Amino acid sequence: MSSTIIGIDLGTSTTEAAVIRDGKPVMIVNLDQEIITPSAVGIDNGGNWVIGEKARAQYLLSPDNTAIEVKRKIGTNEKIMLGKQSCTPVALSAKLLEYVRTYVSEYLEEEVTRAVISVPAYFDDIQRQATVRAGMEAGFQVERIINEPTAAALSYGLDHMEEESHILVYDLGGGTFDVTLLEMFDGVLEVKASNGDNRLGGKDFDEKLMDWLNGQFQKKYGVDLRKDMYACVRLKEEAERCKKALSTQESYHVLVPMIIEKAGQPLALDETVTAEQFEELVRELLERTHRPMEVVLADSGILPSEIDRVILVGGSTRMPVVEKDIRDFLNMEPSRAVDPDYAVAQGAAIQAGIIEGTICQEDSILMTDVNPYTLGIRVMDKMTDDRMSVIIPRNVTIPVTRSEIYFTSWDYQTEARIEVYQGESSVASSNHFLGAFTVQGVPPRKAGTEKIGVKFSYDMNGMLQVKASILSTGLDASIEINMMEDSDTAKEQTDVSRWKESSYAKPFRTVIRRVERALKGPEVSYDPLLEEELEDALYELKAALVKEDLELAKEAEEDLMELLGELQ
Amino acid sequence: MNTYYEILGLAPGASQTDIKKAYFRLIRQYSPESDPEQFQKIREAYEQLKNMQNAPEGPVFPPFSEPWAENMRKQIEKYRREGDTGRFRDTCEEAWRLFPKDIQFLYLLVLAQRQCGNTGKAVKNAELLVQKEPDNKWFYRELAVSYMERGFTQKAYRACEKAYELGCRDMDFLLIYAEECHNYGVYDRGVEILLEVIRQERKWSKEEMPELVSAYMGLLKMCGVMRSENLPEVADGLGRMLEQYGLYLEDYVPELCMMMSCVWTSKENRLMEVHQAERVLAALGKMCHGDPEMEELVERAKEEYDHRRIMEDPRIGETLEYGYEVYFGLDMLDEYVRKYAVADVQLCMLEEREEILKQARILEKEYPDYYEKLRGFLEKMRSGRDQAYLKDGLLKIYRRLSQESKGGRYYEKYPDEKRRAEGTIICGGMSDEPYVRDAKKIGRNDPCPCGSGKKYKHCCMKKRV
Repeated sequence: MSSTIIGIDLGTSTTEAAVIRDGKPVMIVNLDQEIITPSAVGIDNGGNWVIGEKARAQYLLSPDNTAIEVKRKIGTNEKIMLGKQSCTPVALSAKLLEYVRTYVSEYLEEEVTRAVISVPAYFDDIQRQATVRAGMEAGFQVERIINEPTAAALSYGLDHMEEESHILVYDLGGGTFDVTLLEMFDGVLEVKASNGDNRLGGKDFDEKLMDWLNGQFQKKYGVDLRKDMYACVRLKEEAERCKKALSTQESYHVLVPMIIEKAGQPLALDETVTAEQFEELVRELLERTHRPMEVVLADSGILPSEIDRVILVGGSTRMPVVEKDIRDFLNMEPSRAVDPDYAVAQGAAIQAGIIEGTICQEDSILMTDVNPYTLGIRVMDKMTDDRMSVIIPRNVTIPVTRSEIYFTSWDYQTEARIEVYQGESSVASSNHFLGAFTVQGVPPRKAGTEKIGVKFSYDMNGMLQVKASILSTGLDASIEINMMEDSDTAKEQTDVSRWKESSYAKPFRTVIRRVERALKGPEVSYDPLLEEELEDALYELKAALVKEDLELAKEAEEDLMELLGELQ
Repeated sequence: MNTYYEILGLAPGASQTDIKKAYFRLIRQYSPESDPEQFQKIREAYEQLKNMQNAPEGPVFPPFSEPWAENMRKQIEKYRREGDTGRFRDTCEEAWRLFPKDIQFLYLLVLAQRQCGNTGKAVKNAELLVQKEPDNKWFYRELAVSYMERGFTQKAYRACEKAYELGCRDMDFLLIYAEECHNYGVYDRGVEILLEVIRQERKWSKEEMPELVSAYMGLLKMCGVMRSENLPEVADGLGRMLEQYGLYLEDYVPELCMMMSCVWTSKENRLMEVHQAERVLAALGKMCHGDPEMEELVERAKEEYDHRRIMEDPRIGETLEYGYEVYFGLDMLDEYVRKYAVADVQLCMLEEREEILKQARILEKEYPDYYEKLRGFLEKMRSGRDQAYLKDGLLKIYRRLSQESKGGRYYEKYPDEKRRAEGTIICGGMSDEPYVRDAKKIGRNDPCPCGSGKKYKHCCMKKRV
């Protein structure tokens, strides 16, 4: 096995890789001799995979054969259609990573199989797992998943070892937003808190512009550009160009001749956008960055006045409106001490260097990180049996071990079920369920007399070990939840949208329509449990129809009727 | 506690800078990568010691009479850290029995008994402690807390006084002392002590927020009762604190709103200045982050403040004071009661038209929220036209509803109107006096006076019965 470990920044719109050479990170160029590879994957007319710049160029011509911004869908069950082929986000990310592996191996002239891959700090467990899976499918052994802002801070820290300061990393990338607060002391980078928004990035700024341009166009000609795929792609392209241009100039003239035809007549998109107008359009997006910053400050117990430096990472921080917003919000001039495009890959490479031992820990940089989400179990209290009892709060330095003592809820209770959840809601079932197990052999006594200790251990690799023991007998039970490993809990989903084509569809139409109407009605929205049940049963019915299974369909129909009966 | 220092390789009582340095030096050696177990131990010690920077350091004891007493202490510390209160107490008891010369065990026993809720025994042993060393501030502090927990207000107050004299100044103690002052009715002393707390010029950490909030609560309560000179200082301090530490205080919004509402409604309290209240409310509003439930609480607190202000404003008359209660206080009640109350106020306003319009100008400037609610009606009043029509319309509603509700202010204030109304609406058959019709008789076939356009017999006559 080769010993070189590379660092990869797998971004929403671009991907970069770096490696440690002589103690410093070096960016690696791809087969086109470019450092930045667009995160685009497609299939050309010959049925071959195209990746990177070529795929991006192809996107303009045949958008239905090309996928961009795959990272936004990672961790979901959504399928992406490339021509007639349906792909998972993981498979497409894997293609991209495979391309990275090819060019890195060529560049380093050795077979590279180990990597540190960066993810947004606020990625949850499912998204992290999916990223690891993509890495494995691409032939990498994923040595570590590193948080993007932490990586950026590492690349800053390596050049500023002597500094003692509080650093806020503001990372606004193509599709995600992260804020991380770190303390640097004595060459150690201590992450104090991380927060963010997984659905906020430069692409949303483009969207806002596209909406506005399309709105103007519709006003003038009464044609919706969004309805035409090719027009839409060109609109997107132009919106992106406009956004970039507004970073350096006061206004930009958008001109796309012959963007669409109306009654045989070619129409042109012709608008002027000023920086001021743009700021107005994206105000709402900028405001969404404020809450994560506040949470990070509050969780770390640091006041805005104590921050010494704000580091900007991610291409979107090039926008002057973003910079201005940070300046107004934190009352401080942000710094451009690191390259916003390369810093994350460089940091990932530094982490790789630490793991492979080329960067010596004794006298070089060291880092501690936190867990971004709260971990706990479901417990019963006076009000509900669905309370989230926090065992490891968010933003605690990892590795960490914490334990809590709980009491039996009923008289003569002999077993206790421990359900583990991750998330910020005080209602356990609204959080992400991680796993469960049962402790048996509790001595049957009055409620509240038997104590059960629950211990959570969370390690650097995102492994959570949960152990429960009955204090009076010493009996215990435990599970390990590996947040970095593939868990096949996701239910196989059938595409049920084509149920109408089933030969048995007719007799079930009425009931399906009734349920669909009920789902939109107010009675159901008050009762999320019922809503869920209805949705499940409806899915069952449609799936049965798609599979042409009359027996199953009838059963599902009965369930539905029963549920509808409950409604009335 | 000493073990935490040991882990970091420090002498007990090392400074915060030393603690930090030691931590960062050690995690280089035992990094989370190479030695996660040791790292966690170091981390825990660091966090504990960091949080203790403002906690009382506790008494210092002479060395143990017997070397193996030290083992006993270690055992006790272990149980204490683990939160095993029962064993903690029993071991202390045993240790004190075995080593009656080592007063440290008696001190620990008091702590343990307090934790277990054995308040009576804790008081006895704390008294013994003080008897043995009458100059020890820590012993007095324990005695005071034990008395308080047992419910001996007077004794607790005396013990606090003594501990304070001996130099007890930690935050927890000051808060306890202030509370005792409050319970015992020595408000000026309580205010003095709490002012000492909030006047400290330092950065408060997130963990200290509960204490800081209760210090302000106590201050507002006591300053209010005393009508203290210090109220402006306290209000200013509160505003500043909320602005500066708003981020840490998000969980306390409901508590803070309740506190402000209480302070503002209680009649004995002096009211704080408008700009101070506004500053506090603005800071609270900012902490809500658009959560509608929280914003509602802040809104309520603001209403309480405005209400008090209106009640105390000599320029605002009785009618508008009553009006505020009607417009802001009746959200919970039935639609018809509210309608009735509103008509009631508006009729009173009409009767005092000139005076009300004068007061309205003050409202517009100083009570914009209230003015906004009244604006529509005031404009109608101001227009000067059709005042009689306006009154008639209101009276109609009022008469109809007054049959179901009792105690309208309008009738109370203007009994003439009541008499007139009853003459027309309520049938006189109930009273002993002969019924005298004071309005024109409405014939069965006349058009109904309610304006429906139907004949009387088809309309209101039926309803009357």
